[in-house]
Amino acid sequence: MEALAEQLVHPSDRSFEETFVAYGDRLVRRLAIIVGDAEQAQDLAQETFLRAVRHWPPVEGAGLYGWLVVVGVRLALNERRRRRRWQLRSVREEDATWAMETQPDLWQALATLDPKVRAALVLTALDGYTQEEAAQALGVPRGTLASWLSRARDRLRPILEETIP
Amino acid sequence: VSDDYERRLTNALTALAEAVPVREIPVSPRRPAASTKVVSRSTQLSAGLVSAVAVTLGLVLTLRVLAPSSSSGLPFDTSSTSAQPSAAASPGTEESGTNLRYDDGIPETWDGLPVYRGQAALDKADASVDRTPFLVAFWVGPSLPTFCGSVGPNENALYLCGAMTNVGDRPGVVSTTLGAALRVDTTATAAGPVIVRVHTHDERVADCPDLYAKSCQRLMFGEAIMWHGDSATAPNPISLDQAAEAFGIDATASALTCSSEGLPGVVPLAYTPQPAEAPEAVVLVFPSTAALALAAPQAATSGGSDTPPLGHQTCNHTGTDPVRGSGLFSLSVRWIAYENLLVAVQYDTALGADRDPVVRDVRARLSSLQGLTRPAATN
Repeated sequence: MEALAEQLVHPSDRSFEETFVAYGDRLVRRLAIIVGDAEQAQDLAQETFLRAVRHWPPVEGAGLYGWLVVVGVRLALNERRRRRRWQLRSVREEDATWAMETQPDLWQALATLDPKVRAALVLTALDGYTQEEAAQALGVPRGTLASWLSRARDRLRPILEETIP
Repeated sequence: VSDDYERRLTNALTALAEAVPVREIPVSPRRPAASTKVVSRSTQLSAGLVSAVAVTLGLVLTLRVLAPSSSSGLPFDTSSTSAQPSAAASPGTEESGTNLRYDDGIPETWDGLPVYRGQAALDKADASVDRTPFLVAFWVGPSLPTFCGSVGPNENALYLCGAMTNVGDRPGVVSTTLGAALRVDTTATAAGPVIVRVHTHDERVADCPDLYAKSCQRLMFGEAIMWHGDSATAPNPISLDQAAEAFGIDATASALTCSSEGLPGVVPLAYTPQPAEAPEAVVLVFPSTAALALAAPQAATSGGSDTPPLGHQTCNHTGTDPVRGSGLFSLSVRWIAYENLLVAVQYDTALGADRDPVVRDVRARLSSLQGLTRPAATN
């Protein structure tokens, strides 16, 4: 962490490092749910921060986490799209041991969802985005996003009702 | 949607997020994507820098961020290319005007100058004492995504992370040694053979630490791509167009993210059978049957094998696959060889390769090529 701060931002500007401390883990955790791979999530989070630091600060004030999560999610979905050109290594659900060890039923259900749908869930259910905001972040019409969420909720409902208190 | 459901959903996702193993990110300019292994800085420095970096496939660098920029903005500027690379490694590029060829069709000389290859090229670089240019030849594959491992502030990223992972002295076989010694921009170069004018003792690596200063001086930097294949090196006996036609696809190289990506001199064509949304197979067009046999001996011998080309990983994975229905499938890859074509096709392990419908489809398409092959080029 300190290495990046020292290399890429002026030493006197500590706001980047503070931001990284505040949001780094949070971003990784969200991206891991979207891509299904904690290692890849780390890479994507780092790439997100690198993009941020090149234009530091990308946005002022409270909108900073929003900027990071939107860029991170878009990077994740772009990476997914790139990989899907050749589907042999699309998403490594089998590598998500962290998920299978804690929430196996939920993860198996999530794994059947497209990553962009998982992204919609993350943005709305975890980060409190409205459907309008999430749709804007993902670059899709609100109706499309609502349809994704509806399908996702149907898919997850049996697990949530049976196993999650 | 009830509030209770929303609460359960949020709680469940929160718990899942908390389970993600998050390690402290050793924030650095670039790190490889998850599918590649990171060579730690200490490992790189202790294990002979060139080979350590080169052996790690995929560990290449986005030098647009890190390296001193050149006139084109690319790290290894070949914008002065005298013979621009063709759009595809097919016949039609400038003929060399020489009858002296290596056995794989690459000219032994160019404009009266010797063309060094493999170990001879490395020896030539070792013997160089200044920037005097010379010619080297190698096979180049599609360019790979560029990432970089951790590099300290006083290190030379161009040396540590710039190894090329898509080059070889033989088509279809990546040479990490050669890749570690070359710094040539091939992002606009289609898969095929190249003759490149290079020089050593480049100023971009003049600041390398003493630990690897000599190795930096020996790096070969591309100045211009002089030649990029001709009829003697075009795919044979099955041409790119014939391969594409058999699969009903465009003869346009695809971008891959799995095994066989970046194979030198090999053009990858993605095959997406209906109603699949994404490719189920990749047709790898080698320049010759002999080259295929060298790169993928198991597949060449038996016609089909689960063993990937030399130096490449398998791509077994579990995932969704609309062409096979709903749910998760355990998929493996069968490598099917036919003449100079190697087709990587994924199959449902529950069915087995021989019963998999996509494998059968691929075999049928390859059978349609019988009798269409061209006579071998004579040189």
